Amino acid sequence: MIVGGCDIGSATGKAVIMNNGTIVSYTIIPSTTKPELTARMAMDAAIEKAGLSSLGNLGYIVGTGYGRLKVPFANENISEITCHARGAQWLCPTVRTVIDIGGQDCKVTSISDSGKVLEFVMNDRCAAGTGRFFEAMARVLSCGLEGLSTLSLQGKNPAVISSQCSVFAESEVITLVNEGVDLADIVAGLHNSVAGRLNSMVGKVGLVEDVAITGGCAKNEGLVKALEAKLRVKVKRLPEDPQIVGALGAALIAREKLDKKS
Amino acid sequence: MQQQTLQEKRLEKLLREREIIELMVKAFTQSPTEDDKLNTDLAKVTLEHHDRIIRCVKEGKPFIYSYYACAPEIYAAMDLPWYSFLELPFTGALLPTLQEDIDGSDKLFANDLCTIIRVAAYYIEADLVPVPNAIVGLIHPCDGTTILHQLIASNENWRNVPMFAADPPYWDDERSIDYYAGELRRMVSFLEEHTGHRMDMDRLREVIKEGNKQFELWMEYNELRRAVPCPHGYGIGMQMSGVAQGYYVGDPRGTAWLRDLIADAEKLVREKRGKAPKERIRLFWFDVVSLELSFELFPWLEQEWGAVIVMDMFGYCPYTLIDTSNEDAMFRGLAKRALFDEPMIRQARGVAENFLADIRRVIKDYKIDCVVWPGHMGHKDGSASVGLMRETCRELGVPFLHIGMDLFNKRYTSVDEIKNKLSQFFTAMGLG
Repeated sequence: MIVGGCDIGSATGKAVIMNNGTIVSYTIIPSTTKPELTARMAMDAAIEKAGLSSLGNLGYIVGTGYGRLKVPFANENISEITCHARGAQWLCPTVRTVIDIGGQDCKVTSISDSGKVLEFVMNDRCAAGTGRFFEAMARVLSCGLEGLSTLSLQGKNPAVISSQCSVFAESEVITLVNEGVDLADIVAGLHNSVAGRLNSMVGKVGLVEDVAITGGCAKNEGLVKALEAKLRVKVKRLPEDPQIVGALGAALIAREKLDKKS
Repeated sequence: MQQQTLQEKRLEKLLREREIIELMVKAFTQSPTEDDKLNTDLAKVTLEHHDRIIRCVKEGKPFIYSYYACAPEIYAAMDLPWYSFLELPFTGALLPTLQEDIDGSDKLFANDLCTIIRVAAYYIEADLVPVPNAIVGLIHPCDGTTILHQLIASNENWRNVPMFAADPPYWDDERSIDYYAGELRRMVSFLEEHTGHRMDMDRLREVIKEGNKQFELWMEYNELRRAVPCPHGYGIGMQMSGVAQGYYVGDPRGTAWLRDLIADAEKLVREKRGKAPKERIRLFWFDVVSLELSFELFPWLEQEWGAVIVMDMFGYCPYTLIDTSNEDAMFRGLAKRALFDEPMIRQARGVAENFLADIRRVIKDYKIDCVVWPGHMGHKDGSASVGLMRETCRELGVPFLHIGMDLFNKRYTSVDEIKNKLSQFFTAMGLG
């Protein structure tokens, strides 16, 4: 049975297609200004990659993410918290703490050994510690996101950046640049600052190993390293692209729904 | 155009609020359901108290300002008109000027102080409330009240108003109760000195006996709310503290009101009906229920999610009855009630276990599906215990949500934000 999951986030749209419990294809595209269009584009791309002809080939589709209510072809909408938990647990059965760092928000979820959500906290009031934050800093420092990650790993003496707000942090960064602080140290400091904030969020739900990071920012190895240092645990690297975990979880739930119908 | 007199200015908010409440009474009486009847009674007694304060101001008769939970039985026994500092900000949600008042309060204090305290302070600074003859302050449960005291002490119109604040003990032992009973006696002496009203111990006994009936009925009503489905939703059923320790303190009409409430609940329980269209989630709202949320959020919870606030912080009470056999026993009983029964005070005064004990008991007794700590930004006393609340709920296998909001200021937290968090919570926890 072929099922699909579609995760419409603020920065990217993700779609995953599974067949009999195996990932057949997935796609990640930049979000447009219209969630419906993002969903359609992402799913069409995944369908094409899977060698399918149309949406009709999918038996059940679950939407998730901030734009989940706008996924026109979804049979059901499920919270992204649930989907990220399910997807992460499927990829790494021992995971108990999931840190989702998305384009515009962060969530930390505690899950049971069966993948059930026990508790979660989220930061959705500002862009601090999210993908937007790193994008803003990359612009200020005139390097790309990948460059940001690389630089953070090269920092020898990370600068202290007290602000976690994007606006104020940007001001601090400009000051540090003008003071001649090494760029790598500045970037390392930024990552430490974000990791500190995430560490605080983890503390609210309680850290239980194993820990996994999902969302686009999980691809930032500098951030992962910084977070490992703060949490004092080794973060599990997921075997699939961490950015698709929400859509993957949605597809897994879609499979369960279809099984129940059969 | 005639210039507004100072008295008119100081009474303006009370009078405008009174007008709106009067309109509500008329609306309730036009198509009276059982709920409307109960609401009408509460609205009428509110008008009665407003009128009494207004008359005192106009006629130059003494009245006092008080916080809640300062043994109002004493005021009733002394036949002393009293008005709560926090009343106007609470009921101010009825007025279109609430946001304007909040904006005014922003000029006085940082916005991390409880909004209700800030608005009360603004009313004082802007000379929008009448100046009392005496003030009964409150040192617990929150730091905001202390700051309000400081503002009063520096305000040129209020700084010479005599103020008394009972000193709350930290512990719960017999020595603490005796100490606080002594504080209440000192309060009586203070009030007699500064208002001319005298304490009548026989009258105090009558008031307390009537109050005991109300507390017994409160307990009976809360038993009914354990039923599935819960017979009543948010709002009216959660105002027990306001009835037994507010306008109806020691008043047989309050006792009759409670009996009517119970009769309505009993009928619904027998019929296995609840006020929510279809109850699916039984929720413990562990904080204040503000008037605005009652209009905008709680109806949505019931209609959208079938989520019923089965119990909240103000509705839950240990129902301590007071021994009226002698004077000492009465004052000790009042001390216990003020320290151990009054919501917010009994949770926030002392150790975190006070919060946790309520959570455990309510979850068990009311078959709670989830606990919501709204996390009102002003309740820093409780904020320190949130981690322990989480742990307690996790131990009991009940989902816990800390929203982080302002119960009174929609600019701090919009209703849509709150709805989104609740929706995320319900779906993520498999409740929806």
